[in-house]
Amino acid sequence: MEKKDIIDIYIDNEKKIEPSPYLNKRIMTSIQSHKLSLRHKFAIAASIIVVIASGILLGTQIANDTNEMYALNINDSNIENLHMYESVIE
Amino acid sequence: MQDISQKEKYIITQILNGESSLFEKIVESYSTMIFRVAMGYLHSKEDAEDITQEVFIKAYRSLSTFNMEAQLSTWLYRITVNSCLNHIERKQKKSILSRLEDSTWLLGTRKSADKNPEEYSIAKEKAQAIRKAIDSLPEKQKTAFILQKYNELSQKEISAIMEISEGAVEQLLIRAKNNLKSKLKNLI
Repeated sequence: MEKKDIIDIYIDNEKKIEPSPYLNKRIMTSIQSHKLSLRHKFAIAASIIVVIASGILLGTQIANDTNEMYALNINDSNIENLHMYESVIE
Repeated sequence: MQDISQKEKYIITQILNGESSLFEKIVESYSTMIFRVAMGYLHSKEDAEDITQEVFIKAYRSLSTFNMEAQLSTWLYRITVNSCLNHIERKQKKSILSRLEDSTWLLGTRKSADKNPEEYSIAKEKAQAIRKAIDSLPEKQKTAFILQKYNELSQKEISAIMEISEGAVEQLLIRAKNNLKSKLKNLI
């Protein structure tokens, strides 16, 4: 039947179209990229966790260190005795 | 229906154990098969290559869900059909480039540089009409038709892919052919 032949000819011509010879390579590259991106995401997440944990640890350490108060020892009796100068002027 | 081969079982097991480079064996074995199905749906080499890549990425990501009770090809065919149907849904309008793709069919048929332009134009119209007729088939008829015509699968194989009986496949193919005959009845 002529119409069927036309359809079969159309299909046969489409079947003759071959994919690019680099298609398989492209597919494997995209799959490897997908794997790397997963690893990359894990690496970034791990880095962020490490940074946050380090920040918390450092902050905790600093807070502990500053808890020790250094009191100013001021002995009022050692302040210069101005009366001595007053007696000289008179 | 044949079960998955021992070789393929071994390859899949190794890939799931971390030997991802072995997936290349699956790509080499099935890329042309998937490409041909995609061509049947999309009639565009570039789109078909994109779908082929998409199918293998989906297959790689979901390889752990493959139960190895059916053939690997059956599973890949199903992913391909679904991907093609999704792609068609996403494509809203026919682009100028895809109209030019119709010409690629004709490039393969032109045998000499001095082919009659009128004949060329008629051939182009026929190609567009046939393509339109195939694209307008109901989804299941189109799937059965493409799997039989483009991939030369048996009704048994098609029934495994579409998860319907062989009798249902036969009916779909008959209806597809009748539909095409009806749509192309004015084609001379």
